Amino acid sequence: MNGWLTAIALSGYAAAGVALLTRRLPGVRRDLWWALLALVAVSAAFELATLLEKTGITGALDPLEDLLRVVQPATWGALLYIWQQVAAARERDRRESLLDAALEGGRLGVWEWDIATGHVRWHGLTEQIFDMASGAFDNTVEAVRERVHPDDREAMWADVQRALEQGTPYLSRYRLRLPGGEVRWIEATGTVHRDGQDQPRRMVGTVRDISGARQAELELRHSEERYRDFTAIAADWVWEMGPDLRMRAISERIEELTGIAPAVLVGRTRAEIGDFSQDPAALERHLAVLEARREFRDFRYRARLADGSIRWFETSGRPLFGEDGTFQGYRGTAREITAEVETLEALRESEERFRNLIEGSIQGIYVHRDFKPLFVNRAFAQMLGYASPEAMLALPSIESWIAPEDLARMRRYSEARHAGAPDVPAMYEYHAVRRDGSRIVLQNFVRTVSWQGRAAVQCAVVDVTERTAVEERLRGEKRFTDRVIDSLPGVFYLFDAKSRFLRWNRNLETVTGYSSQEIAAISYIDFFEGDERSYIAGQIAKVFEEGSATAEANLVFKDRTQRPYFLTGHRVETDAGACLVGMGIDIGERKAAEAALRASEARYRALYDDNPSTYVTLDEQGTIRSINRHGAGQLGYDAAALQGTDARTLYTDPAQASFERFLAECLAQPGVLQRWELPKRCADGTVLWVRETARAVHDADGQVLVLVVSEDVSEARDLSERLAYEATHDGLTDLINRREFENRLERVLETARASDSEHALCYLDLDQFKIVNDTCGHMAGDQLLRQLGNVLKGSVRHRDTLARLGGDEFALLIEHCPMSKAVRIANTLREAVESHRFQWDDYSFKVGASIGVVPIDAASPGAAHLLGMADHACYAAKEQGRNRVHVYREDDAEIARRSGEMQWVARLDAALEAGRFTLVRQRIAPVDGAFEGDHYELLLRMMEEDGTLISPGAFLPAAERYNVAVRVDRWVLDAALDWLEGEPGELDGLHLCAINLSGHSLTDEAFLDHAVGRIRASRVPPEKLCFEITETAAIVNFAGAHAFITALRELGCRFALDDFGSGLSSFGYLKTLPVDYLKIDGTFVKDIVDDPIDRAMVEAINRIGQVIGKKTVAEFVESEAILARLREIGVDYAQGYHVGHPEPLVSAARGVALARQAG
Amino acid sequence: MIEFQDIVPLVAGMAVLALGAASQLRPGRNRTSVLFGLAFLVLLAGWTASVAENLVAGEFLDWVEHASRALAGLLVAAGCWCLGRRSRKEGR
Repeated sequence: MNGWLTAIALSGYAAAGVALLTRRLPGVRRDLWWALLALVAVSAAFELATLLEKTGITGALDPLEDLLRVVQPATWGALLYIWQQVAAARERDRRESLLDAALEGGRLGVWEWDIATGHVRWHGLTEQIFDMASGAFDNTVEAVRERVHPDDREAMWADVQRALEQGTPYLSRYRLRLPGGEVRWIEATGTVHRDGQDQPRRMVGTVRDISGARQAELELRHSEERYRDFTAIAADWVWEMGPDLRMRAISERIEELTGIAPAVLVGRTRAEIGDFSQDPAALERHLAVLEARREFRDFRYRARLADGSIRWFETSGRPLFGEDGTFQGYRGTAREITAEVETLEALRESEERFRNLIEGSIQGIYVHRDFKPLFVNRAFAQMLGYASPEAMLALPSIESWIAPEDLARMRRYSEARHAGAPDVPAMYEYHAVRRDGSRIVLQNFVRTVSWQGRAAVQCAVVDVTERTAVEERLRGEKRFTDRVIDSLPGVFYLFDAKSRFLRWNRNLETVTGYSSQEIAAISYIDFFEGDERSYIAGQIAKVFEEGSATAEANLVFKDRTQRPYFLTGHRVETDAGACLVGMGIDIGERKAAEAALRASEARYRALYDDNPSTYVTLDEQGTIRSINRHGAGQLGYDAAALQGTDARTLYTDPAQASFERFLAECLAQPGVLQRWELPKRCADGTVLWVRETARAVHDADGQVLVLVVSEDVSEARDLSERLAYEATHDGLTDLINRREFENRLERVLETARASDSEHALCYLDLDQFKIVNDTCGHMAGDQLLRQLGNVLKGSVRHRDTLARLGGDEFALLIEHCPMSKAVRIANTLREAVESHRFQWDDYSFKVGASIGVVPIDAASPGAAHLLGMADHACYAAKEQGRNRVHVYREDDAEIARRSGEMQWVARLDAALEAGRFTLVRQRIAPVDGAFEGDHYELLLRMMEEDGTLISPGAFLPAAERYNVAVRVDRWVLDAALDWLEGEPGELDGLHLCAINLSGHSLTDEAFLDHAVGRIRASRVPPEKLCFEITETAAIVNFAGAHAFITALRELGCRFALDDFGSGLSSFGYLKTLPVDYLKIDGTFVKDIVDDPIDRAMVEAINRIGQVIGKKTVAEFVESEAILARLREIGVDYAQGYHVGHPEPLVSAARGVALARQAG
Repeated sequence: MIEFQDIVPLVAGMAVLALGAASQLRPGRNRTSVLFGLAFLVLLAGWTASVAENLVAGEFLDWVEHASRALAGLLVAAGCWCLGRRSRKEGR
């Protein structure tokens, strides 16, 4: 039996082992599976051992059996332990599932906060509630606090701290602000867990989203508040009636509304509360309703209060029934309607009065429905000529009195009113036909009223026939006014005090480009911009204050362009109050004209002020009325400062009398040009020479004014003075030169002749001077002459005239001096020269002086002769052994005859006799390159017997001194004319042929006659002949030269002033010397490129020539540079080697040089 | 004569029997647990009987011991079979 049982056990374990090993157990923990397998194996082994023991194999398995007997419980213990663990794990899982379900069901989250580390753990919906997936969120309590709404953060944390400190459960409601911006209400609970030292270790709790509950709570609270507000402001109070139909409760509101205490009414029936004495039936009906337990509404009754006042109430109620259907009473609301009842009563009375009023009104009133008259008052019946309202009511339709032309319009209004159209006019006019057929105009005020419970149209009518006629007349006048305004040339406007346009003309729209709607929407100020806005606003204010104003401003148009306008404004009173009416005129063209005028004035002013000339306007007293800026500035004054001052004060003291005289002449001869040249005094004291031209004129007022134009001639005057000085003085010694000496000699001669006085003339010639020149050069000679000049100057009286005549020749004019004294003075001079030692380099010279003395008295010949006599005496002194004084004797001339100059005379005579003169020509060309024809100067050459050509510089001085020059000139004139006549080709191409004349010829009347006759007889046109005379010759013999020139100019000949600048005395002569050309001396021209002084001289001469209307010719033009410089200066002609060398006159016919036999 | 190898399972068996009985009485136990618990309790009873057979009613208790062991073996087999079924359900 036991063996079978063991076998069963073994079989069981075997089956279990098979089950464990063959059936896969994926849901079984591995440790449990191993424990089971061990148990099964051990148990099977034990049972097998037991079975084997029973089968007879004993002893050998006992130790195994004993071991297995011990091991088997151990395996069971292990199995059960593991099983317990598995069960515990399953139980934990189950509990967690339950917890999760509970949390899910309760919408709860669980959290745990480790206070020491600050870490937070959570479970359930905590993550969802805090939206931890969004934004940065770590498991710290700080992260949790960050999610709390800032407004609730402190309160939440205070709750936490209170729980930690007091040990109380934590409960807090606060808001979260989630990363997405959502705000969520939550409720958090928790408990604090403490350690052994009663220190808080952690806090565990739940969190729940109560946003919905919170919202519901808020809505409930709002609902309660609304209810309270409603009941607080409602006009009703609540009452409750018991089943005995007595008031059981009444809300306090009744006292607030009516002043009746609820306690007064509680316990009373409706009949006791109300006063139904006037309408007992109403009480009966109400009680019947109550008895029937029916609901009632708006039951009205009145009550007499304790103070005797009557009050009206309206109440509604519904019955109350218990759950078992038993009647519990009534509950309802009531309100006081005393005011309504009284209002209705008043309304009824008012309606009564209104009806009476309508009946008695003088305004016509009628009511119709669908044009069927319902009511007509008496006034309207009379208005249309009917006997009574009833007569009109008998009419089938109001169309009976509506004029046909207005009928369609009124029907349209009626239909629109029926359709509820909003824009149907409530007032309009129409024509009505009176009963007698006449027509009137009615103004109809229409409104829809209720008439006998249905809608009808009530019309209040006024007869406006007369007013319409007046309005039509006014409209006609307005149309006329509008046309007048629109026809105004400018813009018209009328606007109120706020600058809003009330009226304007069409021009304003046309000009500005704004439509009428746009103008109506903007203000007058909007037409202006910038500073002009405030300016215009100020002018508008001025109009409203003072009545009128004008302005000039730019009107800004719609396209933002601008035009200047002259604007007027006048204040007018209109229905709209004070307004401004005015016009604007376009002044664009006027402005442009003004601007042009201003520009013109500015130009004139600039021309006037900055003109290099001075313009002065004087009145008759010589007071300055105006002066240009340049003129005032030239004198060092301000133009404004000079206005009103006396013009005399501007002149130097000596010149003021002259100015006074000139001014008087001007005023005495209005319109006649006056000229003068006077010095003016500048502000700084310097003197300014001006040449002034003046003329007296009458201004627009008839006042006499003197117009003065001044030109600064200081520079020209200085130059003239300097030239004059140089013309009278020797440049080397600064002594008087020959010409001046001759002038003074002439004057002394005149004095001697006039006063029979006695004077003396000394002629001094240095001895051995040529040695100095030859030995040490001309510079040494010049230096010696300068020194001797000073020596001689120191040896003569101040009143005596010492001159250097040329070379080493000096002359002394001793006035009012007897001969004996003159000889002593001459000896003094000789000794002074003799005692002077001249040192030059290593040389020392001592020179002597031979002096010829000639007495001057009334019987003395002319100056030239006197000089010749003195020269002869000097020559005699030399002949006598030099360095001595010789008084002139008659035989001295004979001695001089042997001199070279005298020999020239003989040679000249011989040459004239033998015809050994010839002419060459040198070209004169315009500087600007223009071609005018042949223009040249004929030059004279003398041929020696051996054929050598001699320049005129060698023989002309002698020719002039010994009166041979006139003969020479005659030969030249005849030769020139003959040649020109013989060369028709030359004559045709000739522009001008210049012929030189000596000074002697100018005063030789015979020569003049010869010249006039010869020219007249010639075929040569006189205007092609130009006679050149030296400046000196012309001035020395001014009167004769003037007559000579005048005579030949009358023929047509022209004249040139030769060598101009080399020795002339005054520019003043030029103004009266009728020459055509000025030939600038070549000594100035040849160095013009390098010498600024020479250039200035040439410029000055050229300028003077141009001023006085003379053409200028520059000599000695030897290079292109000179020519270019002359071109810059503006000289008209050039002559010199660069232009052309002198060339012989060639006869076209003979091809040989011309040599004419003197005739 | 009780030997040491009998004392160990006897004491251990008694202790585990008490715990196991308490454990088996808890509600919510599943079938597999009941089977193994019963198997263990039956086996404990057999052990107890085997120890006690040396003291009293030796033959009967020996039969009880073998019967208990046979029943325990069957219960273990049933338990493993149930465990395998449940495991397959849960494993899926």
